[in-house]
Amino acid sequence: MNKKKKSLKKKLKAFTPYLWLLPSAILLIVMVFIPIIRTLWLSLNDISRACIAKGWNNFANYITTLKNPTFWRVMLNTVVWTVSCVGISTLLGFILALILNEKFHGRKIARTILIFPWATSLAITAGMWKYIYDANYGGLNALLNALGFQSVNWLNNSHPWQMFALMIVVAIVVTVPFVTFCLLSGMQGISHDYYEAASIDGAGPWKRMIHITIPHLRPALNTSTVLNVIYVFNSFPIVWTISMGAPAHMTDTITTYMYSASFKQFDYGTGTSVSVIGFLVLLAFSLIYMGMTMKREEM
Amino acid sequence: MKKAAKLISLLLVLVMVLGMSACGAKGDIEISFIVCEYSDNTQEYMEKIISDFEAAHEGVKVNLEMVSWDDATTTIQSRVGSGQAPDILNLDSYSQYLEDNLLLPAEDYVSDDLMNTFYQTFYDYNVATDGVVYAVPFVASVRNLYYSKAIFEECGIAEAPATWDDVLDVCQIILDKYNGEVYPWGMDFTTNEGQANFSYFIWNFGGGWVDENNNWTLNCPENVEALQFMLDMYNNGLTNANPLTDDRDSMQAMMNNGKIAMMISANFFPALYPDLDLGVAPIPSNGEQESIQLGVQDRLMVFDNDYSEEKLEAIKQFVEYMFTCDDYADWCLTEGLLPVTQECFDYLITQNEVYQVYKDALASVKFYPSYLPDWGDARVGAIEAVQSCATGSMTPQDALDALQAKIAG
Repeated sequence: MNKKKKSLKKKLKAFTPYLWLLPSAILLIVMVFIPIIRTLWLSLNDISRACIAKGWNNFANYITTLKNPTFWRVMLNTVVWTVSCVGISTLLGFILALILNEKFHGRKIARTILIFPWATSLAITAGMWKYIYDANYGGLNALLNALGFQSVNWLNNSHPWQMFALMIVVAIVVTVPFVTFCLLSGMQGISHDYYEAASIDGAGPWKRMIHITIPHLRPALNTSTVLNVIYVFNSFPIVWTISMGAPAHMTDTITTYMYSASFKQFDYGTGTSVSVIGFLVLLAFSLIYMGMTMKREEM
Repeated sequence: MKKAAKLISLLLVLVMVLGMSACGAKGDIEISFIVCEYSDNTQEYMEKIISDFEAAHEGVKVNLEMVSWDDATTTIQSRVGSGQAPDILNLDSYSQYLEDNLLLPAEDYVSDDLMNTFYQTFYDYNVATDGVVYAVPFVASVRNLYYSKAIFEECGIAEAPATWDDVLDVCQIILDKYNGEVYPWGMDFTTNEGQANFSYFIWNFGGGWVDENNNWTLNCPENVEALQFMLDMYNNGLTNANPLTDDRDSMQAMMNNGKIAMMISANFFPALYPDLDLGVAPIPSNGEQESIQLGVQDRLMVFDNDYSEEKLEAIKQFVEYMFTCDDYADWCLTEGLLPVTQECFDYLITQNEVYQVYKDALASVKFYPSYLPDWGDARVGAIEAVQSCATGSMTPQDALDALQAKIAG
């Protein structure tokens, strides 16, 4: 009897970790995997304006989407948006991490202030920036006027590229804190012995950064880059709040275009196919990038 | 062991009690009702209407769900798509549900007496292409030209412009007087409500969305002329600087701050800014026809959720109550909305004489052809056409030709 009890206890003990994981697993399945599968399934169907699937349509949604010049314009916008935001925010984040890694008076306050743009809701931040850019009441023009300059029509509707660039600025501002703290935590993991040895050997600050800091930061850089690409690629509130993709999808990214197609035009065929294409693009990027970095680490 | 038995017994009793309290509501007929939020007052009024109805109809419970207009389509489409459509819905559009036969004909839940009290003007725009009414008008608004009396006085302008040529003259006077500090005209090319702005101009240039046989006429010469006129106003500096991102709400705020002299807006505009001295006039026209105002109506519709006879009767009673109770009139008055029944309209005229102006405007009101299945595509397409022209990437003729080809085939 005791032997049986002991064996049951052992089995329960082995099973316990899975029990603790179960709520998270259920959440992931219900909130992530099922919607992905359902979206994929919907994208392969004709879908009515009431969002009801009407049956297999031989990839017609994908063919229509890929033949639509607006989709390619939006795709290009998304690439420009992602590359600019991630590239510039990584560079700025690296510089800020270098600064915050040094000891100075007020370092804690500086680190705390840096969190605010990241911690504030994106919709609120975007709304705030829309007002900052406003031609009539915006803070930016008020500052320019105070300095003796003329007001500028920042969100000039006749220049979609200008609106888009200004939205990229907002995206960079909210992304920099995340990159900074990723890289900062990486920097704090680098042993000072390397820097001491390099100093003794006569290496200057620039050489120490190239040969010690950056190589040791690769894991943190890889993580922040992959996550940043995913967040920025899928970003919705900034574009939707400031321009809603206007004029005529010229400032749309994949996410806002998908939203607009589905919920403004009731064109769920386009919305779901764009969503799946975006998912595949991100998946491909993540797999290729992680593959490349893992290979480099092995070497 | 005894303690464990006591605990289990207590738990069982608790479960039974909870179960019984739930069982107590099982006999009720439950009606799910989604209403869009017009303002902070909406929920309060709806709850009062429902509570009074429930008090008079034992065994019927109405479950109210409020949604913001910003999220309305997203929320409702998700519910409908997953087979969880509400019983009664308040929304502006309904043609997206006709394709799948999701709605009950109005005659199933609206009595003849109630049907006869609806304003014919509102009612006629709810007849679908198969001749059946699937949604009834709920509340409405009418668009007029609003102008700042203070700015007009400063510029020596005696009256509101009646024709588009008058508009150009008045705009120029204001532009010259304020040197760009005040925008003469508030123009809306936004993704939000660009189709309303498009309607103001095309109808009052003699064009329109459809002809008398409901065939799309998006690229008719009058529409092209109207679009060119709008663009010329924008390009000549007679409008707000960013019509693609300045929506109606922000332009109303700008007007309140003295930044815009004239704009077309809805009848609830004055209620939002009671201190702003506004004049109201018909929307200007081309001088060859009477001015046409845009009417916008929101609707009540009932989904075909396979009701029992009792439940359908309860829904019918609730819909009847909604339109005939005093709270409906008070709610319309508070929100600045137009009621859709004649009796209620006449009552509101006695409460606020401005409703006489709106009643007179109903004689020249047109609505969107939202009973057409392609209305959603036409609406979005028109907004995109206008926006493309505003950036100079298309001419009005090309943009409207492309739109006509896309919608009408």
